Amino acid sequence: MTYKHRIDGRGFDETRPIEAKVGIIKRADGSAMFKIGNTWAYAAVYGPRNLHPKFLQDPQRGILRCNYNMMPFSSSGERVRPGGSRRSKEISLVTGKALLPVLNLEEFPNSVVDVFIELPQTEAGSRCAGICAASMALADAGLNMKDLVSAVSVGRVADKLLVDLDY
Amino acid sequence: MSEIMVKEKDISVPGEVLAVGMDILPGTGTYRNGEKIVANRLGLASIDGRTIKLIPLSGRYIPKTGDTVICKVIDVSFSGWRLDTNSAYSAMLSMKDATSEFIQRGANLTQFYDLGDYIVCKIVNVTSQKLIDVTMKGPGLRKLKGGRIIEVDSNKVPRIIGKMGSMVIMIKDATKCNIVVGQNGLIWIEGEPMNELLAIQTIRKIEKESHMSGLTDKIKEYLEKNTKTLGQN
Repeated sequence: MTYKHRIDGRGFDETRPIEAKVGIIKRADGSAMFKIGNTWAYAAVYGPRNLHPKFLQDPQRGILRCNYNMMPFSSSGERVRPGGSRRSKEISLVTGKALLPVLNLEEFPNSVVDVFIELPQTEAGSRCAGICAASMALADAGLNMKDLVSAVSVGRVADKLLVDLDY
Repeated sequence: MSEIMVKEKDISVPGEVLAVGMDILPGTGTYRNGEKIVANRLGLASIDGRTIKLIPLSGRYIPKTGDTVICKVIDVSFSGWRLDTNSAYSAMLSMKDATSEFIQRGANLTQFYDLGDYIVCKIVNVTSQKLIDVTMKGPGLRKLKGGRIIEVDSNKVPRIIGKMGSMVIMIKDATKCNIVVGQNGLIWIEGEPMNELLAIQTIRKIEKESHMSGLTDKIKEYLEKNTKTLGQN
């Protein structure tokens, strides 16, 4: 490939500008905001709290529930249909799988930790932004975790690997 | 060859390396990974001789044996009461632990504690599955009548109580309110309406500035200033 940098001037291994904050949703037990370029993710954590229905409870450890949601106006102007979709369901699951290995939920049997990720505006890499926000929010909620999780998208164009793809 | 990477009262995040070396011991909120001692949660570092621990800054209340808590009655069953402890788990108050009075078989238990009542009780046992037993037998354990309940971060409760209860006694004296602080972050306040409000504002101030040193003097000043204006109105 003959290009030396990308359209917006970034090098191949550069991310878009990042801004991150915690404790922005006061009523939640933990919350965080993660902005990468024009992708904004807000995460709120509630719990550990009582889990119902009871058959979902695990007597060995607490469970983690993630919910990823793009707001209707978050896309390029096309209205995102509100509510869950196949896509959001899968991303919620992927987010949970990314976060679970660092969390130590053995202390909270039969309980649940809820993570809600909302995206008011998206350009690209929304699941990565969501995972970063969620991991900060979990730390802010005072949960026992081995490490923080961060995520970034990587793609290949011709023979070059590009970090943090966007449109 | 050991080295401590943090200073006293530094904020640490999960995964942060606090120290390197086998002769330093991991305290609460930290774990050992090979040579390193790593933070397990968000907190303020505290170095005590050779151990490093983290003082938690946030998080829900976790029930512990011996805690005095304020609970709400959420269910009345045949043999006792189920209580909301402001944590992920509910507690059970059995008839035997509730009162020394004789309760006849099949008696209506709501005449002792009804749904929605708040009570001060003490946790006697927490099992591995987080089943909680509480008792009402002990000094100061009672049903709370009147007043109001506010919720604070349970990690800030030690600061609200102060050393040997100095802080809460100061608020009580200044506002002439009855105050009960539960370890689970619920606080009951009863007094004159304006005094109640001042007490609540003071507690919120403590909660917000809990990390500062010299807090007791600051709160004392705040209370003196505000009790004067109360007198004028």
